[in-house]
Amino acid sequence: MITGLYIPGDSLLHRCPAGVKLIALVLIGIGLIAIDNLFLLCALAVVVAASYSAFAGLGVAPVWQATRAVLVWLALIVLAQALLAGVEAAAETVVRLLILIWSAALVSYTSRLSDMAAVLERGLAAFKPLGVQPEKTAFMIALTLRLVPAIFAIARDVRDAQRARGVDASVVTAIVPALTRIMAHADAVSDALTARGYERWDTAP
Amino acid sequence: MTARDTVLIATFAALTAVLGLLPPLPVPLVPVPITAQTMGVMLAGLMIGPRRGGLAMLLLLGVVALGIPLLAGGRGGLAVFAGPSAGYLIGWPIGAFVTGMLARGATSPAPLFAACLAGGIGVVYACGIPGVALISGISVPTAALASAAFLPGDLIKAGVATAVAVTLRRAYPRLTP
Repeated sequence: MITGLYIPGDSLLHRCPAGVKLIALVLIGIGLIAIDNLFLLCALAVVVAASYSAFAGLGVAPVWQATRAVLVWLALIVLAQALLAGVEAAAETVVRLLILIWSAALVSYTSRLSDMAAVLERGLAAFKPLGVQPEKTAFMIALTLRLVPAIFAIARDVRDAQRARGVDASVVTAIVPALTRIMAHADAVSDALTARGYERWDTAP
Repeated sequence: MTARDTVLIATFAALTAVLGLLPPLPVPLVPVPITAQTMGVMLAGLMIGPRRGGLAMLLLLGVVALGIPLLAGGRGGLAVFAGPSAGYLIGWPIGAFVTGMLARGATSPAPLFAACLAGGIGVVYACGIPGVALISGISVPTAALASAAFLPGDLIKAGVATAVAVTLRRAYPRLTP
């Protein structure tokens, strides 16, 4: 089973509709371009980090978790920027990036997958004239989430079988037999969908 | 879109996610850990063609954006689209599409490998490097230099993806993009 980034809770941000949080995130992103005062940026970063505890009840661990994912990049930016453009420019870029990443992660931490998917479905409805089918997109998202553990299990089975036969199992030697089984699995799933009237759903109004 | 198209798109989105979950491939002389994930971009283009391959990558990015950490290293959520590597991610659907376009009708290894190089590496880097430069405020050449660290690993992945595609098209003839 796959788990999302969502951390259950009942805080102000958890109860805030996902669509509102996403719009706020876009506004923060646009607003950040206009701010070039380092002191103001630092203050904003503190506010965003503090809102993890104050408005979401998450504490500081998720802030670090979000930062850790870009740590290598941050080091690279500091190195390149400090050498080429000076320390202040480096600090500005890093702080601006941290604000954006922390805000974006905060939305993910406080929004359920189902709520985010509902926003996406509503957003995609605008593209219906272009042939986009929102309900079908939602179905494909659910199918992907189901297929990840299924494919992982196939990959593990193949590697276990190879180890049992004394083959030195690696990604390279396992991928052809695994993919053959994954394709057969995909055929079985599409036959099952067809048998349940998926193609008729395709043309239904 | 038929049931088979739908399932193949979701299958390659999920496969690319699983490639990111597998332990990283050790590549000599390269300090950064190389995961097999970007091989999914090439495989999607080679195996299910440009349109479905591109949509598979788009679907994966959509699922990631919704808050499921399916990228290598357990990364996910909206934050990955705010980070410096966002450009690379945007390059995935385009890269898979271009790989599929160039690989159309090809069966021998050389054109398939060339398709992987152009789509899976060329297009992805062309989207990724300006993204790094833009978000981190460093110059494009510096960003390109930093990206060069991933090149040996990506070349190996292109080779593996080609070998897999050649073998699999023989093992599974029903699959013609």
